[in-house]
Amino acid sequence: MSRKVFGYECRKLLGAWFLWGLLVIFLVFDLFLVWENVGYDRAEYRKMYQVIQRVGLDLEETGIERILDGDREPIGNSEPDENSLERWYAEYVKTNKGVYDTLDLTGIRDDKIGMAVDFKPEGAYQRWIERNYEKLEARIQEIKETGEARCGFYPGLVYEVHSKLFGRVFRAILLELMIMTAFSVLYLMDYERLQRTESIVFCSKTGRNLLLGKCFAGMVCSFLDALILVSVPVGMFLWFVPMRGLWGTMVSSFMVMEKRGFFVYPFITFVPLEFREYLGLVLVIVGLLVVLVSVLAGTVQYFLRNSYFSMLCMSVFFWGGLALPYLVKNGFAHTAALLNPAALWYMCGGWFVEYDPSLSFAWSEFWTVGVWLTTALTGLFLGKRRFRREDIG
Amino acid sequence: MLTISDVTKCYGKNTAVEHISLDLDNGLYGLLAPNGAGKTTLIKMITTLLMPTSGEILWNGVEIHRLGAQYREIIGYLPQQFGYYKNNSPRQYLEYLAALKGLPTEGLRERIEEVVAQVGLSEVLNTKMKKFSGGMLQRVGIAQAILNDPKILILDEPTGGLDPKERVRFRNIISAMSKDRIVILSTHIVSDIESIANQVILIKDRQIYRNDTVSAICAELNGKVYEQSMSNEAYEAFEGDHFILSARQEYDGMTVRFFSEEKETEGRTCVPNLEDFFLVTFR
Amino acid sequence: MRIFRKELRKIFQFRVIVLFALFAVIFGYLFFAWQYYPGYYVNSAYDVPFYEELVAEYGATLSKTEYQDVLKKREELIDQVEVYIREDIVFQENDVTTYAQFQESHAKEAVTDAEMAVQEETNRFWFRNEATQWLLFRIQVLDNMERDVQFGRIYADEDALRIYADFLNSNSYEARERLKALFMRDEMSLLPDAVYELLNTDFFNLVILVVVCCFVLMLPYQISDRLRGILPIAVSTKTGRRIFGKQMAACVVTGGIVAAVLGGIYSILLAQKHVFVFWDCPLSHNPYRLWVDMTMGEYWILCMVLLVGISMTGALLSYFVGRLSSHYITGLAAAIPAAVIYCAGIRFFTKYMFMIGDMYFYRSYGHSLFRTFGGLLLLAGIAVTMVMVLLRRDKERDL
Repeated sequence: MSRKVFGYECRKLLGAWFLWGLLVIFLVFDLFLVWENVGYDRAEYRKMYQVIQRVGLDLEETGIERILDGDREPIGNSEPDENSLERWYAEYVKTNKGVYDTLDLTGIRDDKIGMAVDFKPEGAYQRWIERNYEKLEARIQEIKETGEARCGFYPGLVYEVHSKLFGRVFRAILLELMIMTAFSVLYLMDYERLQRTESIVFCSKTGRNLLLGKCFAGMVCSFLDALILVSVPVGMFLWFVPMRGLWGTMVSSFMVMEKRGFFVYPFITFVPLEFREYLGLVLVIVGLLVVLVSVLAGTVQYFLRNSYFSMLCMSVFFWGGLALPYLVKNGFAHTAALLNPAALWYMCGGWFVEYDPSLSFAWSEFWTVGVWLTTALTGLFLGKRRFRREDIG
Repeated sequence: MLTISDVTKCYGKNTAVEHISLDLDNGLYGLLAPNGAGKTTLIKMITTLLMPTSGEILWNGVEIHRLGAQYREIIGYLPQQFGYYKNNSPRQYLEYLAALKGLPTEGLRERIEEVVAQVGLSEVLNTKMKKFSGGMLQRVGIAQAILNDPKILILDEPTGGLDPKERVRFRNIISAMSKDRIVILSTHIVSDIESIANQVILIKDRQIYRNDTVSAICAELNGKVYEQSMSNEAYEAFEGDHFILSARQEYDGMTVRFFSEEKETEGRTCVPNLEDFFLVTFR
Repeated sequence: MRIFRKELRKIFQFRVIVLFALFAVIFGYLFFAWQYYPGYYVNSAYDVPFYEELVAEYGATLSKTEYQDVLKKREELIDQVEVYIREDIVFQENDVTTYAQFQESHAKEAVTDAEMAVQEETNRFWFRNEATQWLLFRIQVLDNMERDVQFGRIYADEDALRIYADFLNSNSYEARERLKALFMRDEMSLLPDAVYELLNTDFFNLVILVVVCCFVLMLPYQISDRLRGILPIAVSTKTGRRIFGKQMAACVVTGGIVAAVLGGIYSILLAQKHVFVFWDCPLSHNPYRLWVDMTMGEYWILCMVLLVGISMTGALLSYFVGRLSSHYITGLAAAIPAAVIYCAGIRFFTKYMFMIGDMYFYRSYGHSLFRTFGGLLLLAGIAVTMVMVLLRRDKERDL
């Protein structure tokens, strides 16, 4: 397909008012979500940011003690509550800094397994989980030894910056993006059939390759949607929650720690990850999911040749992906069932950290996307080949 | 040369066309057949939209699906049900199709204006097509078919919706074009084929029935087509005994054109035309 | 009628129904509380069977006399638990011999090793020993009943109402009178909390399902007619533009059918789990206080009727969206915000359906009886208005 045709196809999408309308609706919702999570308390976040900057990112023990002893210069013309906020921060640091020393990840693992309904790992699967957690225990040692746990940040148990950004905002963005991507690809790929121009366009020089080109054009335009849907709400989030100077904070820091369900323990990353690196990886996964959804939509459309049914099938597939792990409850099959795009979306906020005993290995997110992308690309190839011999009109 | 070699197309148990063999060189070929005979099926196979169940279609000795883009580059096609983007102007629509047809950007503007002028739509080149009449849309369809100066031009019912002046203009364009390319014209308007086609291909019972010049085909009915005047009352009886080709109401009765294998004493013989042959063949 | 039947047939496309059925099963599996019932709360797996036994023995309610009888059961159950307590080594070592001591040990903050050991054992009794679990949760049911009586939330007299004087006085006259009537009633409902929670949660899940079903069925029906160029032909027949009204009617009837089918299937599932054992149990009990007296069965029937109405309104909405869409994806894109806003509106008006307030938190919502009906009628009115404007426009516009 030539660049010119690609341009025309993109223009069809960019001229589709309903996609822009949906994008605006999603954007408004995301901005509301950001406001509800952090916008309303933006003053608190900014005050805390000042405190973090004053205390310093290294969280030196002597410095903390000085604050607690009151042996510290009052903060200039600051309001009295800023001093108490600094004190509160220091107390928080002192209370929680030893969390890694008392952390029993194996016990947490056993509790999680005990609480899960009908989940009883046995045999090789149990040993595999245990081996994964041994690696995590070694990782905890590494965290303690390198001191990466001691990084200043918004106190996670109260401010919950990690889960608000990645668990709520990004999760909403991701779902919207997947919907927009599927819509864009399916709209474009069914365009000629619905306009009844199939007979003309598919017997042109570009021919049947046009359909694949449309899938690609849909994907590219979805990246534009992604740019807007990610940058605006996340930008607003970062405006309310200043992060300058905090991007180097390790995600495994005890300050980032949050209450997750019944458990209060730090985010144990599989590899050392700064906040900026974590955000970067999340964006990579978002991008890969856009590609995956595009390819999946293209594949389904190649076989069904009806955008409506294709969208219904993709919806059923998505919901099925969420339900599958509940149906396949044990063994390696359960882990395999969790490695699907829908489950990956659901666990947004728990990527690249220890989260579910069944997925307690590094880069499971990339495995998910990689396996499904390979499957989808195979399907796309088969669909294209089938379409080449198919009767049109 | 376009060679259609023993092509058959089946849809499950139904056969649309069978054992079609044709050799087409430069010239204008009229494709004539009743509804459902397989004209559109044949045309769609030539334009690669349908796959033959058996047989092959060759362009200069090479199978057209093997040639792929190289073959599709040289065809222009106007389908029977012509689709368009209603929010586009003819210029936008043709620019898009030019891109699909792989036409270079240089000279494209002029080429679009040229084909649009040929079909008489220069004044509405930048008007949205949702405001066009059926005839104007049809002319846009013809314009896109000839946009890439195709070596094989296939037109399926192209003159539907065109007024007589436009039909004449269209015939002249197509006739001129057929000097150096293959033009296949599928239509029910027999007069369109009769006046300009070099060769007429008739399809009957899913197979090629005749592939010959207009005069040769019509000559088969020499001496068998008659015309006779009669009263309206006489016509009622006459109609039951004879195969009527056409009947024209006059002031004082009917003028009837009819076919008869036997020699008729009362009627006067006429020069048979293609429509007569069509009606006699497909009665 | 013939046209109407044919339109209905166009709506119910087999492929779409199959896909929706698949979606409904997955959705139900993920979100419906039915599958957890009666284990909706930790204790309800034991509460509910006990309530079922009480209903079988005493009927839907307990009078004061019957309640005294039931209290004797409590003593019997305590005696049985105390046998287990006295047999337990950990309790023996720590001089825990009675139910009262058991409860005290369970509730207090364990500090010493001995206290922690005792508390661990009480946890085992509560959560990991089936025999003692069975007894303890039943005693808990009776304890809760007794607490309600002691706190004057049932069988109350004027004296007992003094506890709530401030609360009652802070409410409207109607709420005050209604609450007094509820506190002073002399029949205690045997409806478990889990049943009310189940019906409330799954009612909204059913709403989501019927709305999704309406959109899924209606969109291709409307859009494909337009795409295939059927409209100009249909409108130029004797039926003419009346076809739009017939199509709208077909959509509304479809909405009703969808609600009836899905509600019916769900009711069968409820019957399978013996929920309808509590059919005659009054719904107004602690802590759910409703403006009107109705039994669980009447409440469920009312929910089903509302579901039909909600579904029909949803069908109108999907008809509106479908008529204005020129492409399947355009229709879906418009359907998403439309359906979400509609469901959010339904939730807003039905979340505390007919409830006066919540006694545990001393909040009064003041949700009038007409809030739910009024809200749903408002939504229906908006949908009907939108469709009527559309139909009127279609009478005159160029096609």
